[in-house]
Amino acid sequence: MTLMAFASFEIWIMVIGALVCSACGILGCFLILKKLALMGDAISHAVLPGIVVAVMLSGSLNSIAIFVGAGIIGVLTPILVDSLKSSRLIDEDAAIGSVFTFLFAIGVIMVANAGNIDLDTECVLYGEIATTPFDTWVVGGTPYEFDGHTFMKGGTDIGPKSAWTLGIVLLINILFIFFFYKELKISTFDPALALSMGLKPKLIHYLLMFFVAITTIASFEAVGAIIVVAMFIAPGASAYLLTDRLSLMIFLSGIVGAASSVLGYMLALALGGDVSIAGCMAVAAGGIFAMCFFFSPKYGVVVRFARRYKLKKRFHAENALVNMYRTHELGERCLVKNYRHNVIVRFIQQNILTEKDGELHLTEFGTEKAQNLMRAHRLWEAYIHKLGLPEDHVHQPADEMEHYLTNDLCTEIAQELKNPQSDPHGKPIPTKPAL
Amino acid sequence: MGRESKKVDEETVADVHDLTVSYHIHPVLWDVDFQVPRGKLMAIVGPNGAGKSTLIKAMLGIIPSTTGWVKIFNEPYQKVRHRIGYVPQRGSVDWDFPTTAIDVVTMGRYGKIGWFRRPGKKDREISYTYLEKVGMQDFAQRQISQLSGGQQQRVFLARALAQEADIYFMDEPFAGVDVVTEKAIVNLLFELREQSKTVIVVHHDLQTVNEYFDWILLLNMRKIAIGNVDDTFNEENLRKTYGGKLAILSKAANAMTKGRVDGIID
Ligand SMILES: Nc1ncnc2c1ncn2[C@@H]1O[C@H](COP(=O)(O)OP(=O)(O)OP(=O)(O)O)[C@@H](O)[C@H]1O
Ligand SMILES: [Mg+2]
Repeated sequence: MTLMAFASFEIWIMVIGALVCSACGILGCFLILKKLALMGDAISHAVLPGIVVAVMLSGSLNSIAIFVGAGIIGVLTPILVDSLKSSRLIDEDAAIGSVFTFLFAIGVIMVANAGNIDLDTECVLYGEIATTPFDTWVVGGTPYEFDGHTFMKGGTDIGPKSAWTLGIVLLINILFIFFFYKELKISTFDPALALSMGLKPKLIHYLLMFFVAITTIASFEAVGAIIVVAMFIAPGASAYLLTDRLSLMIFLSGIVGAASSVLGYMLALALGGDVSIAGCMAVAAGGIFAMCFFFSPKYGVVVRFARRYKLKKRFHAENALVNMYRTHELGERCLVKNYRHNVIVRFIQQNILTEKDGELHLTEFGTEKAQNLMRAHRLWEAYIHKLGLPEDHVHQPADEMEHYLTNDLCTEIAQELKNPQSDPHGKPIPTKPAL
Repeated sequence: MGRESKKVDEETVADVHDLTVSYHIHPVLWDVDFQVPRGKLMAIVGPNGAGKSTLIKAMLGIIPSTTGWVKIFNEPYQKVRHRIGYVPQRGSVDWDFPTTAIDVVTMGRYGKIGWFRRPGKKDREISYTYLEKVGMQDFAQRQISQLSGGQQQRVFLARALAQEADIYFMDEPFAGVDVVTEKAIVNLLFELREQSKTVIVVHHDLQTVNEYFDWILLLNMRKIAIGNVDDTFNEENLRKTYGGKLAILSKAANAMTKGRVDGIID
């Protein structure tokens, strides 16, 4: 009985995608916070010579050798960047840019010259996630030769190899962040303090880059280099918009990564044909980021607009109410035609107004509400007048503040001013309504 | 200064010996040599670019020095890290970092906690106590970018206090804070001094030197003078520190840089 019978290859594709996206996403949080988003890009290119050397030395696409080669380059890249940067002749971004293009170019030349290396560029760039579920691991079987290849007879199929590799990489990343959480946090936020405490921020930085390189390599086969770069940035950037706690940001980036995989696969199914599944996952990650950008409960553009719109609407209604109150105060008639239709309708619904023969009357509830606003307005006028603002300057600020002052604050101001009866213009300040 | 007077006794907590610091090949501090006695509140005063931050960083091993050495409590700083507190310049960190005020203060405990272990309940309690001490307990759960400049400075101070050190290095703790906050911080510094701790503060406001500090280091690329405020903080030393006479040192530094660069190119 094989696992494939339980889980269709489609589920495996989503699982493998989710493993890649989460593994990249959680490390990406630190790249983003260190303002090193470019470093993921750099390392994913720079590992090429590491892979080539590993393949040449080991004579095969043996994964352990490749991991070692990539890991070395992963640490070498930031070290080269640092030494270029500390020469003070070029800036960090220029240093990153020149180091990785240099290493990548060396890799390309090596591939071209070592003709016997079987590196499929298409595969390196775009990955072949659709075929990964079929390359499964079988344990306990007996090997047999057929047509020059080794196959397994019998044994148990324990699922796709890449699911295992990526699962282990994700686990390692999680453990790394878990055990070095405090060190990662302080090295990212305040490396100088970390250094003065002896918490070696450089070492932590190189460790982080090492894991970035390992993750990149593990993801290559499944999703390819280009999409790995997207996955180092998009989930973390989305999570950054959703929370202001580091631990939650890391957790959410993992979730966003997994969601990108599932949504991306669905998108690929919907588009059908020859569309790149990994590409669709990157698009989904970008889509999630856009959603967070527009709808994030804290920082989202839409939420900001909605909040501002709601506030404006409230101001509008309250201004109308104050106006009606003033009209009554002056003993004038409050006419329907002077107010916007929707305001009147809403006020009547809210039992603030009654309407009779084209004239508006405040209900008891409406009067109380209006008095509260009026009281806030005139108290504020009196207060800032006392602070030294001339009489003809106090109306405008009070017009704004009347919407914000709470009952408690009004009471406090009234006490401070020894319960004034009228505002600087001589208009009566309504007393606090009996509750 | 005679060699005899350099004798390091019990009461010297920081000993800086002929320290020269360069960025790349450009020297910014020349042969700086001084001692700080225990229990002093010492101001480091000097113009922008004088090397005040550089001096502190070099003393704490944050940047390497070209020549000379530093001893704190008669030991190399690596051995006494847990007894040192540090307040960097406020602009040196990213305040948009996803973390809260109390979390930042807890970072002050990380050195004591050591590798791998997590801050425990006790560390959180200690951090909260110091947040209270700087009057920021109501902002404990605030994201740090939502604090004003002065509040951020207080959080930094609380973090240094949470280090529970014996010597503190503070880089412009009064930058951008209002008078009330400044007084509150000064009172905390006085408290530290009463516990015979040593506090070294980079300070820009010459008006308040007399009121706040009892020891002073005047610095401009080299040590101009060091000693108690009453004797050392005088017009002549100020003129030497802020006056234009340092053109020679600057020119020397430039000449040195140029010489070395030319040397490389040739
Ligand atoms: N990272 C750096 N790389 C190169 N040069 C630097 C670096 N940091 C500072 N410098 C230079 O070293 C000199 C001293 O700088 P430092 O920051 O120590 O001055 P400071 O006395 O603290 O000034 P400020 O009052 O403006 O904070 C300056 O000329 C500055 O340009
Ligand atoms: Mg400085």
